[in-house]
Amino acid sequence: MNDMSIAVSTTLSTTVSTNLSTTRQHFLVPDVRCAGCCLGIERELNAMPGVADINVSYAEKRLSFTSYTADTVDRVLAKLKDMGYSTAPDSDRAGMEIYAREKRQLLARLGVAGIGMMQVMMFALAGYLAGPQGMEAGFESLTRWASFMVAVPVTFYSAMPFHLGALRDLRNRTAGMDVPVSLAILAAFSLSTFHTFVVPGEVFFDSACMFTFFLLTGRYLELSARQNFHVEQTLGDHLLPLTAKMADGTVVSIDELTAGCELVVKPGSIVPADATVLEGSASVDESAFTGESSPVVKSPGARLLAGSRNLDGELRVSVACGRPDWVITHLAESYRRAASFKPAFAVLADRVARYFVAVILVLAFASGYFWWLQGDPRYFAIALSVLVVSCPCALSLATPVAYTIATGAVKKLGVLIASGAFLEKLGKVDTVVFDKTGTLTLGALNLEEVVLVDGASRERTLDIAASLEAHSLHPVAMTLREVGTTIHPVEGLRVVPGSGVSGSIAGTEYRIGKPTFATTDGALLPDGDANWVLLSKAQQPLAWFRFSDRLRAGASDAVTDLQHRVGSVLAFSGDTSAAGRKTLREVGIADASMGMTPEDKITGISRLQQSGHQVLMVGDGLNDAGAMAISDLSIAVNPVDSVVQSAADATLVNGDLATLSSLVVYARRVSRTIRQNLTWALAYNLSVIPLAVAGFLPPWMAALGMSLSSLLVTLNACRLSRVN
Amino acid sequence: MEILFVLIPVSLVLVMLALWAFVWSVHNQQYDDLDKEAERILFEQPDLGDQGEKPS
Repeated sequence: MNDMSIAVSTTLSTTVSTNLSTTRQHFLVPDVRCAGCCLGIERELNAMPGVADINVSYAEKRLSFTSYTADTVDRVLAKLKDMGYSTAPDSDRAGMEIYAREKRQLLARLGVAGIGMMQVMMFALAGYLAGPQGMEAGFESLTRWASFMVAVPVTFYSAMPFHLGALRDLRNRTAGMDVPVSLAILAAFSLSTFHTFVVPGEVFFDSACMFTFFLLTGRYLELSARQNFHVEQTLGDHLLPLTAKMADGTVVSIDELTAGCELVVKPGSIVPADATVLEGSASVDESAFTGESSPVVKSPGARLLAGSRNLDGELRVSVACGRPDWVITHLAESYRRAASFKPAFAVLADRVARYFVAVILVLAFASGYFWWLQGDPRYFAIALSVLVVSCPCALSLATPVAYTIATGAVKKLGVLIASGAFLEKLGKVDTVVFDKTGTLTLGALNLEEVVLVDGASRERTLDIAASLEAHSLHPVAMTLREVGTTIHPVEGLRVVPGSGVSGSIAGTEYRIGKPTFATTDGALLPDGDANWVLLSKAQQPLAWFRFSDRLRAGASDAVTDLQHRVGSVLAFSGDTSAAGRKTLREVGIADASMGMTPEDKITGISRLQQSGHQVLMVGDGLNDAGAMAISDLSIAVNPVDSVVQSAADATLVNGDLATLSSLVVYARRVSRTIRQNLTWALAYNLSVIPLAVAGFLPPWMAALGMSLSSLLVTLNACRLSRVN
Repeated sequence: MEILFVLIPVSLVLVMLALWAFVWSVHNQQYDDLDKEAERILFEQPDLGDQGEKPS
């Protein structure tokens, strides 16, 4: 309870006081799984004294209530804990509130436009049904008056966002999309008003209302997509508590945590920082990162992530780094960047759209003027139609929605994207290069055998090996670290990537790595068919370590799939052993190059690129940085806690290679959808403008067509939220 | 058909009323969480003053 009280008193600073004795409180309840949970919580809290106006929002997973007594918040939080719900402070309330308010306003405007549109259509129908002989002047006037009355709120309340946008654009001297839209609506409204009160004539209230309604619908859908993304995005951030409890009992804000702080993480609570376990063992739920709902057991030495949930054991941990370097922070930033990415042709489309707007204004005016010269009374209607129909709204609407949705959807597949160009480039890949160890295989190497040379003891050699590899991120190093018991200080540590590590312990030089690295004269391997690592003392063999590695489940299927969908699949491996070659044959890769150093991998990839291939490198983001950087696209198959150090464009955190081919299919779908949208938008605009100029399109048809076109493009993009 | 001169203005008054009611309901946050409201009907409300059997 102590932790919660402290969290509460800190939260009070974010609440709004309604009067002296009551305060409005907001908390996040991330465990809410369905609307039934919301109603259940509301019912339980309604029965408690001192609480009122209880509301649990399902979409935002937020509880809000007014508290009337000093201990209300404590009681409410205790009640929630009894019911099995964890709570967190609502630190992004301002951001969410903004979205909620914007959405509400847009919905109100949309509803008014919709109701108004239907009413005006009803009145206009009378005129259409009247046919060529028309209606009696009295009734005609009546319907015009009525249409005017309904069109006023639509034009000046519902369409206000467009008018304000147009004003802003004009003030900044750009011709944005809002300018022709606002102009069309206001022009239609003004002329119709003139024909209602001054000189009788045709009215276009129906077109103006319809136009407003459909365009607002498109905007509403776009806002919903953006808000959904924001909620999912920041729910992860919201998981973080405001404070953490240090080992000595003091409570500090998580923003003040630095490397080395010792914390206590109790069962049932959220891990407050990226940290290493010092004492204790517990199952930890990392589903917020990997989507993997089965918990991972963490024991001393294991890495914890801020935002994961400690399920059942008390842990004493040491903070690994400050908040800006946490994986969760890094993920949030790269996600925001990835989602706002615009592929090259979309940027081009934006620029075209801007000039286009200036052109259509001129074109509309010119058409109207031409028909006025011809003496055709429809000159204004035609100008209006041209203006409305040539609006390139669909062109700029298509891409942003598609990318926002696609980035969120890809996360469901278990892929974290670091660079926005990822989905765009993935569709064009025709060659996949796999690294073997840690990518095709699990990389959690098991130490199978230790062959001792020269009378050294097993424990001592393991300790020496572990000490040399104490800071390396190589799979071999991680296994050795787990096996060694004491770490000795190493002087003169030198790492040769792809070969091994050397250093001095207590004055003696030790080397560990490939046999050719560890000794000057190539020593004889104990048993040819395995991946042997040699530890040498003063360049004489001291001990041989044999590691075994298992293929990932589904690796061979994944390779076959990729060969089928992408083209050629190759493997570059640093391994020289026959066992390694056998593994690659098992997985189905015929074209494998063994014994490659990091430089060899880089050369290999650039040679492929020179012969015109688009290369996707799938590897270990930690040890293949050079190859990852040079390939057109790179994916790392790494556990999620190494995402920050990863040099790859994307990280596959669920460890399932089958995802790769699903990803390629999805990326192609995204490109196809965007291309569909842009093609449709362009084709529609270009084919329909001549019709409007020639006078074949009445304004209502123009409005209908144009808005439906935007809507079509947005809905097409929404299809991308389905990952399969 | 002259009655239309009465009926249409009356209907306009109703339309204005409907528009105001709609905007009020949106700002009253009734549209904020449609999933929850849809499932509210499935929940047992405790009966007040009813001595009959209440399933737990």
